[in-house]
Amino acid sequence: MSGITMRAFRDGDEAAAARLFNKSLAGFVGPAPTTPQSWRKQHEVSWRSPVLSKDPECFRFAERGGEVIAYVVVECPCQFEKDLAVIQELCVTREQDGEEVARLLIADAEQLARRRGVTAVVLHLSHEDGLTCRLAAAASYEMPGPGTSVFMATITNLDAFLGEAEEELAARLLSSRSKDWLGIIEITCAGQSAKLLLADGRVRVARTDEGSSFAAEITPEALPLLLFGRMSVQQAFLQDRLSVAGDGRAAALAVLDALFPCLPMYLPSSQWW
Amino acid sequence: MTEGEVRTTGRGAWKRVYIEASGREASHLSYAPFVFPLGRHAAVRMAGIGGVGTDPSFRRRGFAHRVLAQALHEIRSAGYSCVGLYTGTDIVAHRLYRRLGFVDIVTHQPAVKVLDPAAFFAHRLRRALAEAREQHADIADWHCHLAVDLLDQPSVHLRIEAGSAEAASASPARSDLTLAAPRAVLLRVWMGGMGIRFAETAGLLRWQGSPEHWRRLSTVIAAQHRVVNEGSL
Repeated sequence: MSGITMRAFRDGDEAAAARLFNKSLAGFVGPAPTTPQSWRKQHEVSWRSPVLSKDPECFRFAERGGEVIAYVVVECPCQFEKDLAVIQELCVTREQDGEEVARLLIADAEQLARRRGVTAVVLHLSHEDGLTCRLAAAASYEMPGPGTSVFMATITNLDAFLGEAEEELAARLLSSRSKDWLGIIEITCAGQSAKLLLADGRVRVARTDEGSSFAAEITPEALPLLLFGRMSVQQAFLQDRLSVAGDGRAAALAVLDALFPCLPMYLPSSQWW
Repeated sequence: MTEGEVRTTGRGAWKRVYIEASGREASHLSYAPFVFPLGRHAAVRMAGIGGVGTDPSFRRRGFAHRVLAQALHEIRSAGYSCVGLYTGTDIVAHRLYRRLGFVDIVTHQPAVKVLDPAAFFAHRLRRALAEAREQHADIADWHCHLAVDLLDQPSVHLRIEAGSAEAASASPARSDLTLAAPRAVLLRVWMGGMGIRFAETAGLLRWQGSPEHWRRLSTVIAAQHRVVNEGSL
């Protein structure tokens, strides 16, 4: 592909990097929205690797006509396994020739690995990220196992979780067919409970003794999956992991489905702790 | 053995929880606050747990469970709405986390591309030999020229000497042992994703040469497989 050059990070790239990060990962739950300052800070954490100011060559930027169009962060070598390099973050706009640019960036990261005497490159794949999966297959990457990395979570305070999520829940409700639903939903799970008041397009955690329109009881293993968008309400209901008591079960399930939809998740390994 | 109480110390944003036994630190972890975005409009306050480890001589005695239970108690008391951690699905720790209520939220499969097969196989074999030397003293006296036939790529030659391994630059007229398997199978075997004896039994990998060299090599690789799968608890 003509006109594209690869280079290491330079001061001033932060704005383009933050823009690319936000745009390329916008469809996923997980990546924190990034500003130029927070992008820089994220890559200056001393216990993570690579550290931007110490090893800017690990931050590879693709440029066309003087404009940054994509970047990749490659940990080279990996701090835990010195014979490996790890591609941690690949940010490219998923339009026009973005896939081709991404291929060139991966090839550039592999060249860096060769220069540094590293014998293999690792690319962390989320099966929900079609672009990276296609790229890995096209570039002859293989999945040797058994080391599947997993992000695990548990809910320690249901009431607080729903309180922090109020605005997101309201936005989801407003874009659904249940947007005019009014009432109180009580959610219980293994000794935890919380009430959500839905009214006038708003969602609020209700601290009230008032009776609920319906009560949803969720099993402990299903609760994090539902709240993080990893299991649909229908699936939980069919598997007896969610039961609904009260009037209008179909409407209740529709409201819950609007509040807790299944969502694609992708956590760039550069953000792991 | 005397066991101490589970203790917590603070270090910046990170809290460190640990337990001592017989005057040594037996098990430890750290946790810190993180912000986890749920979408464009909200984020939740999450405690992120990391750096979980148990001294090998104190494993399988419940120390990690006690340390984790204490951390979860502190996290709940501090008002965090959720807790998250990164681990592997294939290690012992994963089962412990599940017992304590953690659920798999999303998995990331590492995809690997080997750039220099000879150097890669030699490095991994060196590491396996170093692990195996502790259990099998005779490894130190083992000398072997190993040829690895990748079928669709040029063969790789490795020289095993005095308990270590190097890529060999030229192939001798006759190797002591030759392994032949597709690159994908060898990659799985060398990275612990498939047992070497299973690969041989299933007909995915063939060997030719000295049975004694095969016995030693399969012992070394199989021991490495167990280490990979045991994790850090």
